[in-house]
Amino acid sequence: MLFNSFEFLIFFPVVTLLYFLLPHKWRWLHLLIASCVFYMAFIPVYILILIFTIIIDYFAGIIIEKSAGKKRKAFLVLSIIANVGVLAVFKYYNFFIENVNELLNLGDTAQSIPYLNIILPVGLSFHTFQAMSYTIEIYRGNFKAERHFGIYALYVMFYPQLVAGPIERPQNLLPQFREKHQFDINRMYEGLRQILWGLFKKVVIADRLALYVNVVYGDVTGHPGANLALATIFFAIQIYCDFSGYSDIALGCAKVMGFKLMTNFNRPYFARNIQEFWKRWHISLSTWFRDYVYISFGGNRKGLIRMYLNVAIVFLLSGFWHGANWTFVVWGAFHAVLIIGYMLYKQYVNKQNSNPGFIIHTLSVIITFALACIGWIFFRAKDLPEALAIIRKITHLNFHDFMAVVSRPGTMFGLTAIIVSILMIIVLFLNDYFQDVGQRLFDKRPYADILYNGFILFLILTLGVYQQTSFIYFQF
Amino acid sequence: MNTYLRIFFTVCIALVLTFFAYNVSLKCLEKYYGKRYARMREIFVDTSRYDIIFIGSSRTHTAINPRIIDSITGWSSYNAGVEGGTILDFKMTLEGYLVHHPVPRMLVLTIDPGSFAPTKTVFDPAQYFSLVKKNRVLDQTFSSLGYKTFIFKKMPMFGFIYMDEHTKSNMVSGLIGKTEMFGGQFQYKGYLSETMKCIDTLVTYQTQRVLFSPQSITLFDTIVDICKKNNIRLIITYAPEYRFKLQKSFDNFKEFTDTMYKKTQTGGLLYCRDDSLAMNGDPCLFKDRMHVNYFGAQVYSGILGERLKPLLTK
Repeated sequence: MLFNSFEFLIFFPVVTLLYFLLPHKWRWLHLLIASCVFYMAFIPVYILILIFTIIIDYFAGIIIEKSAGKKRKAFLVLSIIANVGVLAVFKYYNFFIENVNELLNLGDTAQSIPYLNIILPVGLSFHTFQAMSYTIEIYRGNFKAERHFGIYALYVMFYPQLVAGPIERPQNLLPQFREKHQFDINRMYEGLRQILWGLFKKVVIADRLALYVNVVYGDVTGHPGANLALATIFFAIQIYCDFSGYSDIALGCAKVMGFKLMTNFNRPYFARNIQEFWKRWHISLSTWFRDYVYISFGGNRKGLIRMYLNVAIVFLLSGFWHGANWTFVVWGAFHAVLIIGYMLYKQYVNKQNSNPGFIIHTLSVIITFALACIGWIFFRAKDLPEALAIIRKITHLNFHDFMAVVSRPGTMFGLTAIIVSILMIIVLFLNDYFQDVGQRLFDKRPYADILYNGFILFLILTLGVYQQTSFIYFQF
Repeated sequence: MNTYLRIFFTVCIALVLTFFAYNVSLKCLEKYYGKRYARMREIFVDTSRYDIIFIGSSRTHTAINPRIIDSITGWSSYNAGVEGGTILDFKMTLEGYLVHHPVPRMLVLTIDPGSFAPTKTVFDPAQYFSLVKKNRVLDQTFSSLGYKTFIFKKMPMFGFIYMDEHTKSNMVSGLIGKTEMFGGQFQYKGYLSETMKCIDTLVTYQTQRVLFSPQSITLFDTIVDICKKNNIRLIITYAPEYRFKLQKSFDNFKEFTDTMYKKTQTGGLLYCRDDSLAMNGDPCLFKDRMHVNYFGAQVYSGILGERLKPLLTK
């Protein structure tokens, strides 16, 4: 079920209302059933995959907690193999086979290894990572195994964050299922406001920009560099609004019911360097890799070379996590190079962490955004040759070609739509930039708050694009 | 301020603004699409009697002038061709027409290579939104396409959610006084006049494939059944095209013609291939390879009228 669907417009109030009407002891069951309905709205049979990993991890958690030594480690490994195994089969098998066939020069011959004809289950990488964090935390002794099977299942399946995160940690989420949440109108208002803002980002900005991005990236050879440059900038905004919009709706839905999920985005395009960008972008995944991969591999405790190697491993894995395609691996590698480059720069060239002036600050933000955009080309392109072709074309910008294509009738995205998109992006960045000031203003002056939220709801109703289907990150 | 009141006023402001924007946008769309909307009302709401109706894509809409057909045949005809239409649009147009109009004596259906392409929606759906509550076929069709049609019937101001960027851009065009018709262009009984310019013969075209979907073939059969049930004489045509340039660009065009011959033979239907008319060699009768221009429409309507005249008297 999509957050921006009519079905969810019915689902969410009904589930929330029942949640507060039911006695506390039944609420976990209610949320679990609702989460199953939510997930099964996509491809019902795939719930079996979730059940499989839930059962394995539930028992593995208890055994890990009770045992010591090799047995403890063996069950952690078993749990990880089960989760990664599911990912390997459903997400990476065909990619692996494609490369093996290519390496062995088998192509599409009769001798080639057959592919699996399966659709990737939505949000697979999210819930498997969340499940793995549970057993790892128990193994590390940071958390006690959950004995209530239903509540553990709900930890993996909690519908607001089931298909696209945030990837929660057991310490944060599991205890909340045992807390008794009272209805609180002020908290509900905060939650609804967050949902509203998430919807604005998704249907007004991300889905509108997607119309342009999909046309341009769908025909790279037919578009000049100027269009590809604009489409790349638009894609950078699109993916931010799509994913952070989803996170806002997820956090808002959870907040209405009294749950506090972790923040996933913190105005990433205002980052002054690439390291800061990764502290603000997809925070739940970045911290997951930091806590469970980077630190497990020694982090920065085993010398500089090892630290840089660990950073590279984390970003390569992060790229691969996003998708079974070399473009994602290169995207990860690109960011690894940027991060390591920045760390070296900080270490050997600019050791002082002085407070830069406005101009330097602004330039740093623009450069960081531009670097992120270059990375997004690899992320969005169909394959590596296409990504390189796009970069080549962007270096030959031509404004006349750009105007000719923009104003060409029939693209469904003419100059008017571009102007509207840019205006909406300005609203987005002003909101992000003045977030704190705005919050203080709205607290003092409720009328300003009402006008602003009413206007955002109006934009959602009138300028929202509802022909799009899914959220980009569902595919991961 | 009380939080309940905050929520209430927020929703009120959004609704008032949306209501205002909807009414302004309606006026803008009416300005931009005025003639088209009037035509849609003629097809789906009006009750006039016509003996012949023409259904097809833009190759029908801009190629058959009912004034000429009427003068030759002595009957009353209407051009209900749909821009960008596929078989789904054709079926909806025929069924929607039959809701309010008396049953015509004849339907001339023009089938293009693109008519059977798999499609999940009708072309430019926004042009039908205001008519959904007035025509049950539109209501049923849009419901089956996944639209929540109660929005058009009960809460039309929320119809924005189904409008695409193309329509919204045209709202802005309407706001600044533009219309979709160019100077000198006119509309008469559904026919839309085209440019007087000749075809650019130097344009080259990429090779493509005729696409078929089983659902589209079923829709064609449904049209045949509707005609049989209502005792409407159905004639299938293939519209004129400049020197076979359209069909030459399809590498599986034979598959299309074989399908059409098989379907028309099975149904006992007359199939007129107008791609072999003498007019097809004259570049000054065509706007592009698949659309006749103003003069081409005059010539083709005359040919078609002469062909239909004896059929109607039988």
